[in-house]
Amino acid sequence: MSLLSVRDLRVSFGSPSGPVHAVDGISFRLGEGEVLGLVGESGCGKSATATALCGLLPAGARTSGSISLSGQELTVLPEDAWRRIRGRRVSMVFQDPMSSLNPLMSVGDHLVETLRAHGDLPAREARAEAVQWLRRVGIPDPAARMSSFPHELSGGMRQRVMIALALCPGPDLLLADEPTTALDVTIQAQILDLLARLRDELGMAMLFITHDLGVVERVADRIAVMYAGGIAEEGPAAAVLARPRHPYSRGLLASVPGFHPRAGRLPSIPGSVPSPRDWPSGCRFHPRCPVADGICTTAAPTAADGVACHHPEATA
Amino acid sequence: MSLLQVRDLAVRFPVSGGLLSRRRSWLQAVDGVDLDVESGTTLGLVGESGCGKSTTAKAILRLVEPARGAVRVDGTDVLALSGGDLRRFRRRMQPVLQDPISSLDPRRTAFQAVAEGLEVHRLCTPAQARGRVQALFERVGLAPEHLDRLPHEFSGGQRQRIGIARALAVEPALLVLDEPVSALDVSVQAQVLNLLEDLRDERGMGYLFVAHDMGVVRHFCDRIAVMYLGRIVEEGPAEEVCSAPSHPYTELLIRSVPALGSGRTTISVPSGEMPSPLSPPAGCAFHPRCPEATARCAVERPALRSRDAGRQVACHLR
Repeated sequence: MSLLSVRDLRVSFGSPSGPVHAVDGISFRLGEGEVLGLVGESGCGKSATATALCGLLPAGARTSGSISLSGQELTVLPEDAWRRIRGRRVSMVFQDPMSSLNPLMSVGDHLVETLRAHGDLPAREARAEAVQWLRRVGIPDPAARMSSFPHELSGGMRQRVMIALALCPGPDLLLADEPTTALDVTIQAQILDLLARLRDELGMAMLFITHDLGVVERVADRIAVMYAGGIAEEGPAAAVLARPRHPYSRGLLASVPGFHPRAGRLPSIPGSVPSPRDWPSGCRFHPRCPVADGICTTAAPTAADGVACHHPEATA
Repeated sequence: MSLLQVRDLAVRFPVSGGLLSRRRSWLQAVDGVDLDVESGTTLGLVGESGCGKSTTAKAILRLVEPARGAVRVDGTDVLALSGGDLRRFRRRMQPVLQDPISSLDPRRTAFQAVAEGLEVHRLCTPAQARGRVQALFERVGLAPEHLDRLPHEFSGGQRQRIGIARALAVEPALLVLDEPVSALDVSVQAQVLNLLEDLRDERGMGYLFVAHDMGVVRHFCDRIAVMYLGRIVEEGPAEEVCSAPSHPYTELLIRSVPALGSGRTTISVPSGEMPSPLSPPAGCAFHPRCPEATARCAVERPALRSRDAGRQVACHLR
């Protein structure tokens, strides 16, 4: 059985001009210890998916479909039950650690609070364990850093603290939403390195959300490419990146600059990313698709063999 | 002579020692930078946040005042200009910024935003302005019906096209582009990069292209200058710098990029971060992070020296 099984998940938000369908019927599975990379451009629904998976959607949001974690259905849980799931079973790391850390609490107090909320630890043992966690995520001089406040740390160090906070309760699943996007590239490489090492040590599964195809290649076992609220293509990372079958995945990969040494014009996808307020009819990629024909404008393709396309590239 | 010639440019900012302190110290944001951009070519200025690349761009455009140095655009000494002369000269060098929404007035239509430069520099009569702007819109891939819309009605890619049209309106010789595609989605980023490349070739403009994305820079630029803590550490032809970096920092930067096609790998990168420009290390600024640093690197600052094949490196060891 999969650790996480998502079936026909839909998330919509209320707006003055009617509901906005941010996530519109996605299904995927995640095995124990597996890393699934969820890639897509802005507005494709990848962050709304993560927010639904940790039960943090705002009050006005509506969800349907099923999210099942080790057989337990999460969509029907009341908030107090979610509190027992979050941290202990599902944990999160977001792009901007500054907005998830309390500016008035020291790094040590954050960790001690989290450790004691999830385990019945005496204060002294919790402090000792907190220092261990800081060491584990590569913070130099961890004992001294316990009394530092978030603003005294660099962006990379803050993200290390967030990772320690997310992993110290021992979750089965880590949701990482653009965890390295705000960091400089040399620091990003350190954090990706750290996450890979911790995954090997602790064995948690990871849903890694990013817009960066190079990043997803470094971390993911499997990849799901999202477009306009749906999953366009899903499969083993190496296969999706080497032989993308959906025209959107193909276009996206080709338009990444610097992949090949400079060779004339960069292939690009015409048009722009559609807005969730105004999804196109039929296949949502059809207005930008080089192989679209009549059927694509009227009928939404259903996923077969991991690809939701009327005219997928044949498998090699 | 080069279209843009920058020599020994330095910018520093005062930092107060606290509310009641009279002591002032200086943050040396840019420290002795030399750059050359030829007409019809692009020089990429790369580095991580806080390295001084954007401040360099602003100082060239006279948006911040340099502490010392020389900036020549098309032979004119930009730092010697003031008042009306400087305003008139701004036609020759135009900025394109990262976030077009914050550089466009939310209450002015796209037409007004682009026509402003034409009015200020009296490049056409008010009656001709609409036709001129419409032609520019067409060139950057916007439709005539976009003319009277407000900035919030456009997507990110379209806003950047307006920003480009606005810069082009006054027929500049030099564009200073500060992270012009960083806020755009990958599929749209490629369109804007292609447009910029075409415009450069058509009009023979020179570009100074400030960016942090090595993939974008490698694709888009003819030459690259790498900055670290206010100084250029390496400069040379883009493809050669990227495929065979000379400076240990450039090497780290390029190795850190999760380049597509390298497979599921973890790379071991040295720990450590760029030091604060408030307390730069002695000697080579990179020595605390450098895997090859020697005793000399900790005391003596390496100068940027020319090497074979039009490359320059500031390193004692290379």
